[in-house]
Amino acid sequence: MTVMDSDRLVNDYIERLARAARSLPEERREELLADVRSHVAESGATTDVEVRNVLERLGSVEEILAGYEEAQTSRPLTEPRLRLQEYAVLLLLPFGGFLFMVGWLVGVTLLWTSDRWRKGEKILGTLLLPFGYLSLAVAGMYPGQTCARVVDGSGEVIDTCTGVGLPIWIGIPLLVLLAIAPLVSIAALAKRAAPNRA
Amino acid sequence: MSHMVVANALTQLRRGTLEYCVLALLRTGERYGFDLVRELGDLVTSEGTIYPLLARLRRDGLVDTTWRESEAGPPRRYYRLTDSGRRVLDAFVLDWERFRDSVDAVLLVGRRG
Repeated sequence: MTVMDSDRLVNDYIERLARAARSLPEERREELLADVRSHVAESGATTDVEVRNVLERLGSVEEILAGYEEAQTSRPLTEPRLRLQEYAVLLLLPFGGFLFMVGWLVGVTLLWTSDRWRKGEKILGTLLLPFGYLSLAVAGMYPGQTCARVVDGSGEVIDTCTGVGLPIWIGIPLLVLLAIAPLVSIAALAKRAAPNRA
Repeated sequence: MSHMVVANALTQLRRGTLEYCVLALLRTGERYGFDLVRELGDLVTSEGTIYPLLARLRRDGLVDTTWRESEAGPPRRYYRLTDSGRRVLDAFVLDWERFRDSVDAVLLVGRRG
């Protein structure tokens, strides 16, 4: 008779808990009930008195549900999205090239060892642009086509041109694209950074 | 009146630090719910509230769980710290020690004066 009474106590508690937990998603509710059943079983309580003690220590059904509400509304306990390593990446990828080129290589290493980005995002950061703004500076120094006008012995005018040049209608848009590419790349990286994405 | 003030402050502290205490208990190895409750002792007022707390730690990716058979008795749900959980715990410990030392220092001044 004692065993049945204590079973009834537990079932009564579980029933009240299940009713109060109506508002929880089904999976959560089932988990909670399983956890509480397991908890009571684990306590080894068999007599009426022991079971009452365990249920009392568990707390009221309202208190437990309040715990779920609090869990819902509280801010997630997570690591910061951007740590020192990630800030270094965002700085070195566009500008590290100017530090004897090594700066960019360091930036890329930090990029690939960070767990904040997926592989595709890391590839984007590496290729857009290699060596960052250093590439742009080097490309800017490229003289393009140079032509010289020469008058030879017989009075003929000869134009000699060396090098290859891009027509202005290609050159200028390309320059603009190259100028904003590194910024677009790090903006995308900054936005998508999150712990455990690698 | 003064008891009410103290009770309020301690309740807040308890609530704010409990999840990190749970993470700390998991640092040495995996544990099951009942075991955790036992170790936490006075820090937990109503034992059932450990389960929503653990659910939240799982949601935030700080712990993992698996059900395991136990030799004598029902299966137990074991909780284990993830890498992310370990890092969050380490960050908290640094902040907590700094905070605790500051509070202690000020309280000590108050007592001497």
